[in-house]
Amino acid sequence: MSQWGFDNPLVWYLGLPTVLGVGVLAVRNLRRQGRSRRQICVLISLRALMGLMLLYWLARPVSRMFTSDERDSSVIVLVDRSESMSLEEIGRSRYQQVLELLRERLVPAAEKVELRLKPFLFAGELQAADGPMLARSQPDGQHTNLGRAITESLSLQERPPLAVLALTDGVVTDSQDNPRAVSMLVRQGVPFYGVGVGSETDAQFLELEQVTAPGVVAPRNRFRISARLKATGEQPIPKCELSLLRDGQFVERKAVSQGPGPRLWQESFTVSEPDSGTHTYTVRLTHSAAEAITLGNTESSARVRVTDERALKVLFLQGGLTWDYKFIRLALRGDPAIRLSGLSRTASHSSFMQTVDDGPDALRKFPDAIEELAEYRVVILANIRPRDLSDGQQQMLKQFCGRFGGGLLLLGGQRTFDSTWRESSLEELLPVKLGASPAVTGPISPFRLVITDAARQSGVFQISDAGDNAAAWRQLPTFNHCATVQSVKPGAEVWMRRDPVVSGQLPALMITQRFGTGLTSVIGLQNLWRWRLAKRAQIEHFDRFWRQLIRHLAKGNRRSVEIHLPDQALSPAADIRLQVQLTPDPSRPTDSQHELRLRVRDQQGNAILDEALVVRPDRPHEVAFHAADGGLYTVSVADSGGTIQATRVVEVRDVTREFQTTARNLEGLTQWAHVSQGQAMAIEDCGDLEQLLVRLKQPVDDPADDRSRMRPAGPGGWFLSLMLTLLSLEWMARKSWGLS
Amino acid sequence: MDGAKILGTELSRWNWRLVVKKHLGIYVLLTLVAWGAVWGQATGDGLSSFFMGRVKYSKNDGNDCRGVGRNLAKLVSQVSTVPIADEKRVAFTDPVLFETPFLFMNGHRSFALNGAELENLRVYLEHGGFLFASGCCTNPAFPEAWRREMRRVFPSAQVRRIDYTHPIYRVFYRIDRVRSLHRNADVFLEGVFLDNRLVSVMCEDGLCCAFSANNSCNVGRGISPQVGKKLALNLAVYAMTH
Repeated sequence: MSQWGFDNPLVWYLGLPTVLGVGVLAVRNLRRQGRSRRQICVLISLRALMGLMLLYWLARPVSRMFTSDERDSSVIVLVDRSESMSLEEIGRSRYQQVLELLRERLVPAAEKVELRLKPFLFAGELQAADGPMLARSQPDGQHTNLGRAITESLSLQERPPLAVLALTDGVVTDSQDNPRAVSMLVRQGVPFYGVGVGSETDAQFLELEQVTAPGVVAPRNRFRISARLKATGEQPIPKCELSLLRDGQFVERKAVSQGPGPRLWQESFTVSEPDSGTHTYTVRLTHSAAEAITLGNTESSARVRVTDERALKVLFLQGGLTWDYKFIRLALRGDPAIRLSGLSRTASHSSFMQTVDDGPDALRKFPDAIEELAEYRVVILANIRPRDLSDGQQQMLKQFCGRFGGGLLLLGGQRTFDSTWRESSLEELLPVKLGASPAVTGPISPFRLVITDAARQSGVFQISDAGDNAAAWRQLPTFNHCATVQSVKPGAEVWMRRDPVVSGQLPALMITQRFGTGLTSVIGLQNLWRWRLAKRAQIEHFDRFWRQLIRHLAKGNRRSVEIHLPDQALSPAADIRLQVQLTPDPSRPTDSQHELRLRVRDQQGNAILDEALVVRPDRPHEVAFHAADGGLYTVSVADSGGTIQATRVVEVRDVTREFQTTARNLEGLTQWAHVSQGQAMAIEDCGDLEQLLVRLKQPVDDPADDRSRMRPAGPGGWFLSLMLTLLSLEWMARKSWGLS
Repeated sequence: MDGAKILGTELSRWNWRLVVKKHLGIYVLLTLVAWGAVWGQATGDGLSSFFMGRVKYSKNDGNDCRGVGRNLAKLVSQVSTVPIADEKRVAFTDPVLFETPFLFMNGHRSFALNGAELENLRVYLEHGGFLFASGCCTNPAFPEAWRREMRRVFPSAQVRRIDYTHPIYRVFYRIDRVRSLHRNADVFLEGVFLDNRLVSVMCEDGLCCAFSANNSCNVGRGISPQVGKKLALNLAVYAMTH
């Protein structure tokens, strides 16, 4: 991003003829001495080279920085989204204060002076951003590396920007990239401007981050309402209280446990509900007015549905009229408790759906609220791609499964499960990963459907009472259309595969997994209905499979194993305690104990713990795993047959790094500004940003200023070494040829 | 010879034969590819939803009112987001019958099914298949034969008139009443009910002529083309959802 030149180019104009003249004289002199042509060539070459190097040195080579005219007329804006920016002051978080500054002052000023802003979000890593993305992002980054943000943002530019403007609290947790960033700023002549947000002094913050509760519970069963709290500062937090409210009415109060230092921990209330209904539980954080502590968010809620309904309602959504609905409907007719409602999309590029039913269970449209959707125990999405549903509907389905314990079945072939699923909201629900390339359409070689060992252990696949279950599965017709999956997600189980296996393709056809408190399954077959229509088919096998599968999926919220997280700190380098509990099963009163296997995996999928447990009903089994680092840990409990009965994701976060010091570090920003001829200021002292931008935009006309942008690029050690080498070579040549 | 010129050489009649012999393998391959493409179009790619079999039965080759199957598929394609496959000719004794969930049969004359046809149709309907039958041009011979043969297929099943309260009249379009064009009477569909499930429907008043040929073969008779199209579409949607 700079130009090379010579501070004293006159040396070349005068020096070159001189060197040439001296060379000619030297040749004549050597000839007169009777030296051979080879000797003359070597000696003259060495001397000419030394002469040229001397001229180069005298001409004073320099590198000249770009002037503002040669720069990109833009300013890089670095917005800090690290967790320390989530601290709330003056009624809003530091991050919100930055957004306000951007929205109300900086962007209008830039538009006025016709200067382009290039916003980036940064924490540990850099991310290009736009307005909606800035508004959508949360300040939850676990590191702050301003140096890396500067170097990466400058590297992405073709020409140097006018300036780098950082909107941050200046609290940096990672400084290893700072020397490189300083060097880049200086070398490119880009000034750094820092705007510091936050209070001047370290303050103690306490915040209620989240309230969690099971989505669906049975009446008279005890369950937990858990609150995750976050505290900052070195001192123990003063006396605070948590209040539990049920539908706005006070239920219970408890003191927040004391503890030093920044931390993240959980506090719970145990409750039960006598009757069916939907209730909102709210946890409120309060403290005595006299205590010196700043509270962030103080209230959060969770909804719990209490139900023991006998009817099993199933919602069938299809991307268009297909035969799947008809044949599944026929199969479910044999179970009077199962009530099926169908909706079909009516047009391409539309999320409008129309009923395909008549009678009392007919549904006119997709449910508007999660409470309506939660009336169903299972949702089947047949031949639907994420784009066929609105964002709101996709989020509702995630909630239905993850929070309300619903079962979700996804049906379709290669036209349904294609690359459009990647990075969609619904993709999380899939127990598989799909390829990036568009789906291959068209028939493939006929294949048979084979159930796996894991499926054989499951009651879902017991379709024949005659003891010839395996033979019953072998009677299925062949199929020739199926979805291609890239991989099976960790924790998911393959229940059906295709035979023969096609090389280079994963043979999985039916895969299932737990998702939050619910279950999700994928059947990647386009026309499973052909099984029922086939001439040799035993239709009761098909019907039984579907009834059992629906009942299994509906069990998502009726699981017999639960994983509890007792109240504790959730910090890295600590042991995290878990409780595994069996829910008593009234249908099996003699069932005294269960052999289970608990596995914990870290975010990278590495096994952290693999332990066999013997658990008795209503007697929780305590177990702990060591969380070496922050991140998400997946805990799963499987029965003796390997079938996963429960999973839970535990978030462990290192808040000590981001919340060790919370005062804004304006001193640090000033140092950045000083080395790059920029400026640092507090957000409240920003003044007229328009003037600042106008100043950045002014071209550099002053020759003195131009000179100040010159950087010597002259000879260094290597240059002197080369000259010495040339001199030595000439001396050796003269010595060996007997020259004076 | 032009063909020879196309191949790039001037050949005598004798040499042209040699060329054919030499390139016979290529011709056979090209022919097979062309046939494959035609066959693929005719049967659909298997991902298409509305698989409709046009029934060849008894002595009928499934060719009465040519194009009627294609017209029904077109009707369905107007209201569905899924790919619609064209009709394919199916006999009750074909194995492909059990891969075709919707069958359409029509005709002018009486017919009688043989033992194998009866047995296959029974299994097909029990397993979830659906049969839509239509007498062509209000000829009474075909409807009478259909009623008789359905009773042979399911001796204990009900073959009866479908009243206007049935969902088949409102599953897509709401049809309150169907009037006959040549009689002062309402037209009703007739159906076979197996365990309270409607497995086959027949219309004796030239429904296929109405929705497919705008009654050009049955002028002033049967039911109006507008109502016929609505009724045929309702029937197809009902078959796909019940």
